[in-house]
Parts: sequence; C-alpha cells; structure tokens
Amino acid sequence: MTMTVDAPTATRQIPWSPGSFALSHAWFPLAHLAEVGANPVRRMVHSQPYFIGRTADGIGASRDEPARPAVPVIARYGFAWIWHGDPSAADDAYMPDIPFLPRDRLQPDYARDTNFFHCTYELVLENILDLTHIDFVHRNFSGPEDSDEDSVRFESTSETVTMIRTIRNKQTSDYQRDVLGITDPFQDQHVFTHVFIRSGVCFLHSHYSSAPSMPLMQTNTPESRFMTRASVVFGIQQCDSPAYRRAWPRTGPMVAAQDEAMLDPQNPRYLLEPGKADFSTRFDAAGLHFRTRYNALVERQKAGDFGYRSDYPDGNDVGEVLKVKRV
Amino acid sequence: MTGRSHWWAVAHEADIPAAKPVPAKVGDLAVVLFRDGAGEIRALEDRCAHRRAPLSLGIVTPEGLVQCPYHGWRYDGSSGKCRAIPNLSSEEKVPGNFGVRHFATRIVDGFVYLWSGRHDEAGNWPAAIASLAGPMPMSRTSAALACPHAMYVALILDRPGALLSIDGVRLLDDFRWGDPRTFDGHVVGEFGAAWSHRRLDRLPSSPPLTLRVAVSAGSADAEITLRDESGDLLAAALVGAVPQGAMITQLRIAGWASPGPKGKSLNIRIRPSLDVETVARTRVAALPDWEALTAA
Repeated sequence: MTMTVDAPTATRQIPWSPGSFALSHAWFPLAHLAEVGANPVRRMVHSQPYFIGRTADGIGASRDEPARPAVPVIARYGFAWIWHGDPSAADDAYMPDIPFLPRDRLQPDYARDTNFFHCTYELVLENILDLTHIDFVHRNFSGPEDSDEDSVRFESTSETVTMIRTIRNKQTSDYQRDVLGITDPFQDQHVFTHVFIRSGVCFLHSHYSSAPSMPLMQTNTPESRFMTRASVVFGIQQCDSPAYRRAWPRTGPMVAAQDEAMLDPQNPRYLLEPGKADFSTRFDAAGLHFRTRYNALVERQKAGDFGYRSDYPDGNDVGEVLKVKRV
Repeated sequence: MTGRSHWWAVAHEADIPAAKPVPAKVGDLAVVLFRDGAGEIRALEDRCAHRRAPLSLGIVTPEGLVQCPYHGWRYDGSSGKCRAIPNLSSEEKVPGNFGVRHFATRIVDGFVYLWSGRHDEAGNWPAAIASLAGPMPMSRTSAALACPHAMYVALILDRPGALLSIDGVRLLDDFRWGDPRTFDGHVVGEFGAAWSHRRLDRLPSSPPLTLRVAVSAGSADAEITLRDESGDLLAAALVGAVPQGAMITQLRIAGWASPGPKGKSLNIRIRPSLDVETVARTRVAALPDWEALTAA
C-alpha cells in the first residue's frame, strides 16, 4: 500500500458536503445472491433503480427504465454486483478483492444480514473509519475508552482508506464477559477498517488478545441521500470458535441501531449546511483523509475523469494488513 | 414572526432534570438545555462541533458539562467551549477555538426563555412578555400543534376557540370586540364567551364573559384572560408558542383559574386537535394590514 502515515494532530478543517455528488463507475454489491430469484429484485444506487434477477444464463441486471437496458453484473462473494456508470467502462479488475470471503460460494444464512442507515453513505463510511466512537456508542461490545496506549494510523490510495488502531490494556467488554465468558479483565485490540470510496464497500476486523473475532464485509450502498443499505457478510472461516461464529453476527442489528442513533440525526445537519467545516483531533485523521480523497474523486468526476489511477491495485490487496487468511 | 432574534419560551423550568440534557427547537435552530454544576439552566447549539451529533442524546457529567454521545466531547454551558476530549493524552490540550454556540437564557414564571440570537446581543427583556399575574399555584401543560407558527398566530388572534377550551365556557369566536389592534407591544383581540350550561341559540347582544388574547410582537407569546361582566378576572394563562421546523408549533401553557359556577376550575387548555371547519373560517390573516400588525 502507498502512503502510510501516522495520524497527526488534526486541527485543520476540510470543507465537507456529503450527499452533494454521486460518484459512479464502480461495482456496487446490490443484493445478497440468496435474495435474487427468477422474479427480479429492485435496488437503488444514487436514486437510480435497477432490477436484478436470475435468468437461464445466470444473473441478469437492467436499469428500471421502459427499455430495460442491460447493465454489467457479476455474481461474486455472495452478492450480485452491478456496474453503476458507463457500461463500456465496466472491468472486473475494479471489483474489490475480499480475501476472507469465498469467491463463488454463499456464506450460511446466519452469517449475512441487511441493515439500513437513514443518512447519506459518506457519513456511514466516516463512522466506520472513526474508531474512537466505538468506545462510546458501542462500549458494551468493545469496552470503555480507558487504556494504557492508544494509537491510530491510516493508509490510503486514490480509491481506498484504511484505518488501523492499536490499543494496549483496554478493559474487556460487557458482551465479551457476559456472553462469551471471557474472564480476562484487560486485553489488547488491533482494529482495522478499510473502505472503498466510490462504492461504499468496507471491510472491518477487530483482533482481540483475549477473545475470538472475525472480519466482515459491509456494502454501504448509497441508495439515496437519506438511506444507505448496509448488507453484511461475516468471514466465519477466520474464526475457530463455532459458538462465536453464530453469536457475533447476531449483534449486527444492535450495533447498527447504535450507529443509526447517531447517523440519522447527523444527516440533516450535514445536508442542510454543506461546505461547513468540523473540528477534529488526531483520532480523526483517517476520516479527514477520507474527506480529502473523496473530494479529489468528486472533482475528477466533475471534470469528466471517471478512470482509476495506477495505485488502485495497492488498495485492493488488503489480506496482509487485515491479518486474515485467504479463503 | 420567526425571522429575527427573540426571547422564546422553549421549556417549562420543571421539565429540565438535574442530570439529563433536553432538546428544544426554535424554527430550524436546535438547542440543548441542561443544568450545570450549580443547577443553572444552560443552552447550547444541539450539534457537537466535532461530527454534529445531537448533544441532547448525551449525558450531563458530574461536573455539569454536557457530553456528546458520539465521541464524548464535553462542553461548558456558560461559554459553549469544549473542555475535554477523551482519548487525548494528558499533554494534549483542547484547542481554545473548539466549541459550539451558546445562548442566553432567563427563567420567568417557570418558563425557560432563550434568546435565539448571539449571546452577547441578547435583547432587553421585552415589556411585551409580561409576568403572569394571579394567585399560585399555576397549572402547566405542553402541546404540539401540527400547524406553522404564522398560522398559529392567525388562529389565536381570530379563532381562539379553535385552539383553546375552558371547562364550562363556550368561546364565541364570532363575537369580537373590534378588530385586532396593537396595544403596548401586543396585538390584542377580544372575544365574547358564555357559560356553556346556559342555552344559546344565537350570538348574545352582550356576552357575559370576555376572552382577551394579547400576543407579543416577535415571539408571539400570548397572555390570555377570561373576565366576567364586572371585569373580574376568572382565569389567566401565558402561552409560549415556539416554531419547530416549518410545520409544527410547540405550545407551553402556564395558568391559574378560579372555579366556575358549577364548581369546575376554569383552566384554559389547549385543544388536542384543530377543527378544520373552524380553521377555514379564519379571516384576519387576509386583512391588508395583517403583516404590519403582527410584525416584530
């Protein structure tokens, strides 16, 4: 990966107008393959409706327009991915590589789900890159904020941002103690998040020194400025504990509801005041870098440049940084 | 009446608990109300300076700071300044410019009034917001009306019976003692009223009761009184009317009342819903001088 930077004290302000531009020319995972049958399912990307269904030849997709023009579609990692943008520019080289999910197999039903956030998708990505909110919003799952050491760094390319947080001697959480039976009072945590700016796809993985863990992929599809579809698949193959494989996905709707409680009221505060800057600390460096990278992509696409830069493969090879074994 | 800064009755004082922040709105301005370490009610912009989460979803710390629920940034109610950010090391200080807008507040007659403009430009306490005269104790209620603030002003000055009810009293909106007029910083309308236990087939030539509505220019707080033929005060109420976005008006009412002829208290109440036919008969907002009459 390029550009590995320790997060600096981030007091600079970056104009930020989430929801003001619809990035395109990317693969969007619109539906769990298990949801797609002979009767097409309807999905949205930036308020553009699509139909996806099974045909004799496999998966088919079209725009929801009278002529039903076909759009490029790929079935992979348990999802139907459509190319949102000029169909002639579709290239599966720009499909995210997900090392912790089977490429041509569905995960079991218990390892996938769909949640919704009532906000524009950029706020969801910021939330995902913003690891310190976990101590407050999700403290019952991750533990309170106090620790001996807490450092954050990020890596990025023109298309992706990765956040890595290392915490030493942090209290184990209520969930780990009460549900998983973890007895250690403290543990180290290494938390990774990786987001694809155009599509909203993200990977999350938290390693705990005292408890099992497993990565997940979340779609964060921008359906509108008021709703983001977050379909989730867990990389259960990375976890040796059968009980945890089934227990952890059940927390998904609870964690999503905790985030929704922040994201829903945040949304109008951003949509109604575009361009206004926020105050930030060094812990927000990845989020600020996301804003910078996002703004750069918007400017390029406004100028008619929808292409990918040569650093795209760097951001699409994250098996090592996520510390997962390839399935 | 909402474009300029005014004092607004944003809460009953009794509705602000010791350790929990409370949201309030004036038009599109979202504020959080909370009690600081000394128990004083403070008002801040309800939007964290960090990532714009509502502070009203957070907590009040034991030191009397309001803490954002999203990342734990803590704010001082007297200045709006951010005083603490979790995760920072002991050597790192919160920059002095980190903060949110803070607003001036006053407590009058058990209402929390908020100045919607800049704190250092808080206007003098207007004579138009009079203190509620009458014996204690006062009853207090709140109600949200699904109508814009300007429509509320038109209704209260033209069809108070569409908004208000008084046990044992029939409000005669069609009997009005003259057109609304300005008087001492208020727009005043006076209406006839009658005891509801007396048969009434048509408007009386001289109603036994008079309902007076005095709306303050600006925030449109209303003083409402009910008097008998002798001019003796039977009931009085202050109604704080605050716009909530474009379509809702939040009403807070405090009042006292004497018993009516049947022994029931003559409390002035807010109707739970608007009667469409009554609303349709609202006329005064069509007067050519209506805007000038109700302008701040």
